[in-house]
Amino acid sequence: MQKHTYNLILGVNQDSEPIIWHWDNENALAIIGKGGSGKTTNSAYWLSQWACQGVRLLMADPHMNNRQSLYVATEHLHDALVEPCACDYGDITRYIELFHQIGYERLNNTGDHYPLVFVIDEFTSYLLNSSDTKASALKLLDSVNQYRKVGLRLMLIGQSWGQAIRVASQLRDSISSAVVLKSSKNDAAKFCAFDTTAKEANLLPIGRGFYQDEMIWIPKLTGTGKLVAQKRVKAFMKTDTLHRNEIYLHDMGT
Amino acid sequence: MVIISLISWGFTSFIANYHKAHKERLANALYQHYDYNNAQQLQHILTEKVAYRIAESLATAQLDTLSTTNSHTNSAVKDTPIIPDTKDPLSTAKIAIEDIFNFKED
Repeated sequence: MQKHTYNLILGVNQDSEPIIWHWDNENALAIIGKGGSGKTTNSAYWLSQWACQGVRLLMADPHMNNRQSLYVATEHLHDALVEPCACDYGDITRYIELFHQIGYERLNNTGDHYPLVFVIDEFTSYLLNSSDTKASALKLLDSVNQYRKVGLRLMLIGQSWGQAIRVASQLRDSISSAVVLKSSKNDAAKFCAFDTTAKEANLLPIGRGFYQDEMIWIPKLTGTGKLVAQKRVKAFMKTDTLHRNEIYLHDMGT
Repeated sequence: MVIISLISWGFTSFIANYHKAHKERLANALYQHYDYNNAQQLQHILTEKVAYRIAESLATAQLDTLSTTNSHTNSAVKDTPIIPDTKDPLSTAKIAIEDIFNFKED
């Protein structure tokens, strides 16, 4: 059976070649960056690309009520959310369990699996502050390792990866790809192969980042782009596939 | 004479038919093989193009100005035609392409 893949264009390199994130080859995408480094803006651009291709989203954002949160920046994609955004740590923990459960069900069910991305903003804060950190990290680790083949992907956005790694070093090792935006050397070093790249990460301007130690230029989502994405997502909502998806989720008791 | 002619005609037509059938089988096998490879390749090309075009449509003005050499332009992508594939199950890709190209602001 042939399937559609949901590749992302992360940006362009300095030779103007597009840098492609391959859906089939990667299990997760981590975003590393200080406050104000463009994590939210860039994530909104990438999430819009996914939503335009019919990918559904499960979102957790502890700052969702803030004007500059990811939830607000992706307002045009709210139709693509399979569940309302989780905002407190307890809800995020429950969503991590739900995501794991969906993956487990899918492994035992050969039906039509729609692509689903679980986005967790401020993931490192969650790891450092939540009471169920270890159990959640283990569930995510299992999800990352097993559920790529059933159409589930993770997008983890965070600042203090250096500290969080103490709690979830195995999870970090399993994440297949990362975009490093402006961040401290300590945080960047966890995802860069070379020391020099990690040092340079501290000097990155907004709109640039490192992907596999290569500098990329990341475009910004435009107002028209938001409209395109919104319209595209609404069109997908009308298709039969998504109705089946909703029934599927409903059957699982969500 | 008549008998010899009939025998040689029968023999020739048998050989011709055999070759024709063999040729058809070969052509069919080749077609299937080609088609299979073509579908795989096409899927690869299509999915990258879909991603590319979606990325462009979401950030049109940006991509042209961001690159250092400015060679990455919209026309570079849009001038490349997408090959229509009648057997293609990539409906998602097709819908995405059509929708993006026909998009009009209300």
